[in-house]
Amino acid sequence: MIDPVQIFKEEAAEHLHVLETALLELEEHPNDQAQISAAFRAMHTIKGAGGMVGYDHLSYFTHHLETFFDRVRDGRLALTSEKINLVLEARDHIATLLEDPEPSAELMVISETLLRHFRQSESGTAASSAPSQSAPSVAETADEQSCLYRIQIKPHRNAFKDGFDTLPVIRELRSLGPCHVSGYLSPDLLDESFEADTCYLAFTVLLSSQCERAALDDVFMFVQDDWDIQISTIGNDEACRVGDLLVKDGAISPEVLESIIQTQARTGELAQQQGLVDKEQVDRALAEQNYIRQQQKSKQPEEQSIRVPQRKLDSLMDQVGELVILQARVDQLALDLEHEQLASMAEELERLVTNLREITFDIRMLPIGSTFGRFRRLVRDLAQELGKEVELETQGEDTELDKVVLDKLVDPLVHILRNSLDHGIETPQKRIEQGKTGKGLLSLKASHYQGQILIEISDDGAGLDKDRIRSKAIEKGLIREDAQLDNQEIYALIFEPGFSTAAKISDVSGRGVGMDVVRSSIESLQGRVQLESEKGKGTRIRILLPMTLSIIEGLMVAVSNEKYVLPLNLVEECIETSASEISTKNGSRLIKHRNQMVPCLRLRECFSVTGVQPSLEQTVVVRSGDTQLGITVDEVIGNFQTVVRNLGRLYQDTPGVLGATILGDGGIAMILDVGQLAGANDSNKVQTT
Amino acid sequence: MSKTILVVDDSPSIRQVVGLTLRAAGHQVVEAVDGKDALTKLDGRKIHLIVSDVNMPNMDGISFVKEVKKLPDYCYTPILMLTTESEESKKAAGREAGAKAWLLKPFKPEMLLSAITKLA
Amino acid sequence: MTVSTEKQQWQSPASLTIYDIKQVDQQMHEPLQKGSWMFDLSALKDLDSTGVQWLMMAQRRLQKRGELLQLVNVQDEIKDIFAVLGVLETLSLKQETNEDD
Repeated sequence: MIDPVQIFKEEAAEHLHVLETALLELEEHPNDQAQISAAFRAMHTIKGAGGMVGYDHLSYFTHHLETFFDRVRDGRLALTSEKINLVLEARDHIATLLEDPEPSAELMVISETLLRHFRQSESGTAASSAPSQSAPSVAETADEQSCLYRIQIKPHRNAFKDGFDTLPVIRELRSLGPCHVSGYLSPDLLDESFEADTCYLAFTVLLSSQCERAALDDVFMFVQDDWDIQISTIGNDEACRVGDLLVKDGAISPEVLESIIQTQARTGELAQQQGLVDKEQVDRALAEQNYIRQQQKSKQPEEQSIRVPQRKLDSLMDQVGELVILQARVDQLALDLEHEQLASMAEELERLVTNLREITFDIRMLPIGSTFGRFRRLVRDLAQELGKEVELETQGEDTELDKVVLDKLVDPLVHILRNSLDHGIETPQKRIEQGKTGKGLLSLKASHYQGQILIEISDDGAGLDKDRIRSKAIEKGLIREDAQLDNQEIYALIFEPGFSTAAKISDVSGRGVGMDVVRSSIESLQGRVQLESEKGKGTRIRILLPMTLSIIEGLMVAVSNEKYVLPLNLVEECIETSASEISTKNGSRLIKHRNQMVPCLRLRECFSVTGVQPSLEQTVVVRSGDTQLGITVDEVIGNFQTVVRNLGRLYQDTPGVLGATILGDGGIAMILDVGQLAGANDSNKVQTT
Repeated sequence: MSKTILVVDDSPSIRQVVGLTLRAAGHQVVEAVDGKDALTKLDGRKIHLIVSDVNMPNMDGISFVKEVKKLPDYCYTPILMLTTESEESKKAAGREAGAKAWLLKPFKPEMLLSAITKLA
Repeated sequence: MTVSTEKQQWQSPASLTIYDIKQVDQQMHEPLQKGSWMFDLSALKDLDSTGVQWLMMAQRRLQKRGELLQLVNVQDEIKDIFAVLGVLETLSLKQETNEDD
């Protein structure tokens, strides 16, 4: 005999198909009675038959759905596209429920959430049809943009003794928006060491709030120095599986999670079965996950974003740029005329322009997390293809980058990852032979570093063979046989055009493009790339990028009548230096800065500026990556916010120049590329060409 | 929720402003003119929070905090110190004594209330 | 304090705050080593984080031994505190009156 459950499943699948077709029709023609009836029948049958074969929960869920649709059929409820979306969501949920007559608690929670949405959507219609009723508050809040935060609070052990209770802080957080709080005892607390007035409580708070990050920080005003507080935003695209939460809570390690996921079972239950985590932790994680899911569901309509062509964004940016320049000119004029009223207007204008600039800038900023997410799949597939075992670890997903930079970053990153997988990480067998774990570690980190964005890609693979790079470079004529190179310089060779270390060309990385393409892409973003490696231990590639390409905060300096701008975030200090010291064009001049000797270059000489060199000069100490450099100029003028413009052909190849900017008085100042200047200063000493 | 708050300040105008703000927010206020006076108010009644000035005659804010920390019935009472820019250096001493929350004078009423919600 | 064979009972004082929690912890340390417990919180008026923490610790100690801690007669204000701190699900509350005692 055929299993009745099986028959039901097949039948239900058919009905679901009918339902879907009907709904899609209804989207076009919301009043098509025939389709409404078809949809209603489909639900009705699923409900009835499901109850017969033991699908109690499914029957219960569909019952409410049917009731909802009954009202539509009666004409008491009008179908909107929003409602159709809801029913479609419910349809998908039914499909999931069909898999198991006894659904997990998690699925049941989703059922309840969906049903609540149905109720809300019904009452919403009631409110609009009867204007005397006040609109439900749910609908009101749904209009605003809110952000989902995960806040980890570990109070200081002495918090209670210091007179801090955790209640006021949590209460205040709750006042900022819908909240899910889990309080728990620190897992590493031992029974014997428990002291009743010492704080072992910790909290994970999921908060959905329209508040800015600053408002959250404000809650922890008095305790931020002593308590361990971590606030992160939860993106809509973040996979919020229970497992992730457990890993985040430190309950299980990522490796264990990975192995659990591969067995395709429900993570929470399995982890619990295997005795890896205790029930309390699983429950907590589940509750959090449900909360996130619920919040994100309710956020979907409000999170609607609009797609804007890049071109429009760029022209907005250009206009803001023009405005910044104009504002600088107004400032200058106010100063020249000593006109008080104009000066105060200029000040106001500056404030507005700064805000506008920041907003415009922010529109273009995207977290790097979504890009990282894309790599997960890539790494998994590639590793499989190559017969390697790799774990990808990512950090700093929240780090934001200019969209343009982000887009252009994908290709070089993919290339680096491919290289790491192909040449870096060894096969499991080889790794084990070398006393490593069979599974390689590939790590991708983004962070802020000295006003720039630092992206690090590291692996624990084979590393680079210095001797081989050297001999290869000699073979290819990149360096002379007697060239004296340090490690950094040898590693830098792999970024040279036409250099490829792969002994055999493989499918994965041997695509005719070498690491030189990586370098040139990064450099076109005004970034720099560095490589460190240890044979047998692994390789680390560091990419330093500016946060944006368009506007910089600068320090304006002058040499004779020429003006130059240095990116302010790189400036460490300005010191007075005497010109009497002998200086050579090779930059061997050193100055003392904070007990360190820093190499210096004189801008006057770099750009062959004419005029008289003053006896007392200013030297601006800048930092570029890990190197310090003194830039000696005639005069330091001051802070200057400016728009970077591409240079005309005239200056394009001038080394050390990033771009130009138009000054308030209509003149032009060059923006210096400190990285390049430092590099040029460095390599002058060793370069063979 | 209504709290009983002890306000310690030698300036009558500050006491008045702070007192008005707190009472308007529904709290009970007990006032004291300096540290010494304030200690006499800690007579067994329930005090949820102490708001105290730093610079006062007879007994200054820091010494007062040290004394409170010795009282078994009040040693864990949260204390909010009101301070001026010029007293920033005293903050370290105050923190050492056990006053962890500081509010810079002059402040707006809502800043005071916001500070209080974080403590009690 | 009634000690039944099945579940021992403890009557909470009016206050479980940092001012009295150390003493309570000392008093209860020995008794809590054995059996399951029922804490009657009907008299509890003042509860702060230290009190909540102590209740959670008591429950954890009992659970480690495979025993249960049940909280009964939990007043609404107290329940509200549990809810605010997100421990309502962790602690096992039972809403029942103790008239038959």
